[in-house]
Amino acid sequence: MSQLNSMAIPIEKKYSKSELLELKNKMNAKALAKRRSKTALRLTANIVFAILVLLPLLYAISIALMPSNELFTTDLNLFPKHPTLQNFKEAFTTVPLLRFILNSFIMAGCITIGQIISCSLAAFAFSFLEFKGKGILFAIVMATMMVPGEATIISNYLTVGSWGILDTYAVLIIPYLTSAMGIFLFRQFYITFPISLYESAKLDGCSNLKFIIKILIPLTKSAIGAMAVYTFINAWNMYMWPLLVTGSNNMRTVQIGISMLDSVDSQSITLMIAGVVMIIIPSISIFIIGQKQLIRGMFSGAVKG
Amino acid sequence: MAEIALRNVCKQFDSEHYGVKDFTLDIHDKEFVIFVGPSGCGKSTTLRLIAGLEDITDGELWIDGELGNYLEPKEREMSMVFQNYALYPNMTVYGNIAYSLKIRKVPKEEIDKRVRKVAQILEIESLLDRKPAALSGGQKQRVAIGAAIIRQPKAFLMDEPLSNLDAKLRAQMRVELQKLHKQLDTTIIYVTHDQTEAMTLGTKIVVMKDGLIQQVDTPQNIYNHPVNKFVAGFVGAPSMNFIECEVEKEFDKTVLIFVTTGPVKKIYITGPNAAILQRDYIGKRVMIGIRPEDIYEYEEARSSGFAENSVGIRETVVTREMLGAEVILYFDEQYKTHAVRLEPSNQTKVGENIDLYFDPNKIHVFDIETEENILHLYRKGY
Amino acid sequence: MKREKNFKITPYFYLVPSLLIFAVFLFYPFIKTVYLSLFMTNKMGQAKIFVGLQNYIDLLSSESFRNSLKVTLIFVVIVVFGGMLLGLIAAVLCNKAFPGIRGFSTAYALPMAIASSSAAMIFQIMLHPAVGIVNKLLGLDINWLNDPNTALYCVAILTAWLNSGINFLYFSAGLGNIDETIYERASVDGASSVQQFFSLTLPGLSPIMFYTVVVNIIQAFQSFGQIKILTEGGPNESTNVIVYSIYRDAFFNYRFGSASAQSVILFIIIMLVTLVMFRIEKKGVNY
Repeated sequence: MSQLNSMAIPIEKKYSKSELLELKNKMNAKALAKRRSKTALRLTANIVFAILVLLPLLYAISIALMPSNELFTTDLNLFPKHPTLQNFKEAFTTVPLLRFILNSFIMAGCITIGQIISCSLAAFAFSFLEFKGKGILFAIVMATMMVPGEATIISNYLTVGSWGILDTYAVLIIPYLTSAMGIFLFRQFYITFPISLYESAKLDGCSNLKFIIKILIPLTKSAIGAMAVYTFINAWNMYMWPLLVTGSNNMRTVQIGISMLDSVDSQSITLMIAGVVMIIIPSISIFIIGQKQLIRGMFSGAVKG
Repeated sequence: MAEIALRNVCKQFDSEHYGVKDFTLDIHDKEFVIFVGPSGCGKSTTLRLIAGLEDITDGELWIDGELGNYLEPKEREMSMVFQNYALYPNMTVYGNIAYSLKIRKVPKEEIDKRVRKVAQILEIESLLDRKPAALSGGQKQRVAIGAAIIRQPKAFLMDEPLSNLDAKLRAQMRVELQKLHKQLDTTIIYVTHDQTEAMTLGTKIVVMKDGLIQQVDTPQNIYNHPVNKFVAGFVGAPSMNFIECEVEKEFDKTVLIFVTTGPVKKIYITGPNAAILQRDYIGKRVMIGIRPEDIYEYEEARSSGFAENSVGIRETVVTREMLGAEVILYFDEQYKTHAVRLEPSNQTKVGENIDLYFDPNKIHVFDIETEENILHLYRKGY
Repeated sequence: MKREKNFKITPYFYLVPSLLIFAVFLFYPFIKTVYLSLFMTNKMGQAKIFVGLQNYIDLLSSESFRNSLKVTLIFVVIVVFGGMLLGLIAAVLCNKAFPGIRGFSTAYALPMAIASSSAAMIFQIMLHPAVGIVNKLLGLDINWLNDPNTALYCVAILTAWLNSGINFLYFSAGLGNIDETIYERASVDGASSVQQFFSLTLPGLSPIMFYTVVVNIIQAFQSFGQIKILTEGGPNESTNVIVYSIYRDAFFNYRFGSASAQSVILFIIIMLVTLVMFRIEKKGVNY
């Protein structure tokens, strides 16, 4: 091909073909073993750690499936010997668990929808519109993230008490109809759009509301998805506020209602855990379904932002 | 001292996709080897195979006589400059340059001495305390090179190190890299998609396409004797003109006739090339290639002594670029634009006709099917 | 002209829902809390006698509140450190692709979907002196939640576990943001994976680390459900963190003034911590 290659002297050590093949096979096997052991090590570490992390949940499932007499032994009883669904059935009859679940769904659902609406409206104004006091208002909204719920919960309790709306859906929902974090999250997404997007829509005779519904919302599905998952789970898991403002079985949410199983009968541990497992299932399901959305919308963006 | 040899090296990504196929090359000590080709041609992959960042699927890599296929990157004792520089963002410039020595537990004073020397060579002494984020592209580039040259590795691997710089800086760094190669006196393996970089820097150029080596040679030979149409078109700017022709015999003369309607355009070929064409290609179509500087006006052609033997080819100028030391005229032929590099004194304007004379000794002839350089093949005795 | 005017009023329209909620349930109660903290209140929570800073003075001189502060501090340190360590280990384990990575990622993130109250009830059984798995596995006979020496650690570890899920996501995102090629350069430079972890991965996480610390501290300060269910502040006030103390003073002892004062103190602590963290960030992780 060229004089450069023709004057090339063999650089490699002299091996016969079979020797070379053998050497290669040996090294190949070694490299493969090394890679395999690396993967195996990583996998083992993960399995051990995952079991550790999931231990409480796995244990709860195991207990929930145990007949209550099996629990009280001195033996190590990791798994139920005679798995039964009896505990789940009883949990539904002992306390109005269905009602609690319904209450929680109504509360968490309303809060989620409400937050998405109010936060996207506010974020729209903060991202696309010009008005007096915009900077200050935004700073104030952001500052609310610093106020711990406990610093306001007493006064809020007194406020809603004076309105006479204790023990209603309204009292569970209204205080949580917006969130600074939601506004921040949506704004982070909106400001990545060029302002010309808004201006050209305006020129086309698009009203603000139409712009939000027709253009912004479809473009920010991942943010909405993330927000929905996050808000729903947090609302579902709320404890202190529902504890304070609900008193009757008709309004109790699952997190409060479930502790009623605790006090019914000290022998009913398996019953209680069955209840716990059942109320964890909705939040976990939603989390698993929405996990991808959540990560894409909230974490990858938040870190870069 | 490093002798690197690749023997039939393959990189297979999955059952269908090859990164590199059957790559065989000897790299001698102190060579400045350039892997060049369009993006996706496997040049970076090959470099990463040598660095140990990717596994070789098949074939052998020999480093100083030892089989290197399965060595860990650090056992290969190479240093690498990455396209995006890959500076450690949390360390200062000093820390970045010193890192490879620090993890080798080189004594602090020794590190300090060498960092300062490297910084001096690259003129980045004033930047040593800065973090990478506070550097310009050119400065980052120098730091990356500094971090690579602080050791005495067996070879420097550079993966498109200049591609993120602006044109002016690139030209400047090209000169400095050449100087550096002399100063360091070590092997450099350099990947680029830019043929200018390849031509100016390399002592040996490896032109690649679709994972395959097209040609390995000196810059001069690559330019003058490309083995196929791809290599011919890839090096040189403006690139080589390709025109489809039919080979005919006119009495005892061999003639190339443009495949075109309208007036006949033809070039007479004499000498050994004519013999080669006469043997196998009479009546067949071929692709001829000619570089813009090998096309002349009548006056120059006559003084070079081939005008008498040829017929001028009349073309209409569609674009004219005055570059000071030369003028480049463009004309359309076979629905493609072709370039001619002429003396700046040429006054032909856009829309005017010009008679062009192709230097018959500089014409490359390529097979239509295989795109191989016919003349080159025959000269090699195939 | 009309258009111009329109342009100026409408923006506020979009802010009304959010600002209204904030005003009623955040700004107003916050100010009211500060106001109440300066009064003696009756059982209905109405301000009766202005006492100035007396509530604060009483608190700061009370043994119980100082204990609360101490307990809260220990609790927060364990929760933040433990929760971040769990999240970090999980994120590092899932840093490179391997078979089953998606399942493991879900597992590590899962605690963030679990309510503190549910988790507390599970832990209650796990730590049960007779039937609990912890004693059985360790072959011990400890009444974890009734022993002042262990109760706080149990609640803190539970909280760390709850927070580890979101920390895992933060750290995973942080790891994903580290430029892959710097690892390649490091391996060519000759760094082992341990060296790479300490010189590249950990420093590369520092921006997200800072953010995570702040979020974790704020969260830890606000933990309530697990304490209410597991220990009710006991035994012997050993888990009586400030938030629980606020709850008890307000809704059991009906001392709204004192509870409000504690809320204000909690707010000030959280704010100070956040500000200090920002100060540190400006000095520390500047790249």
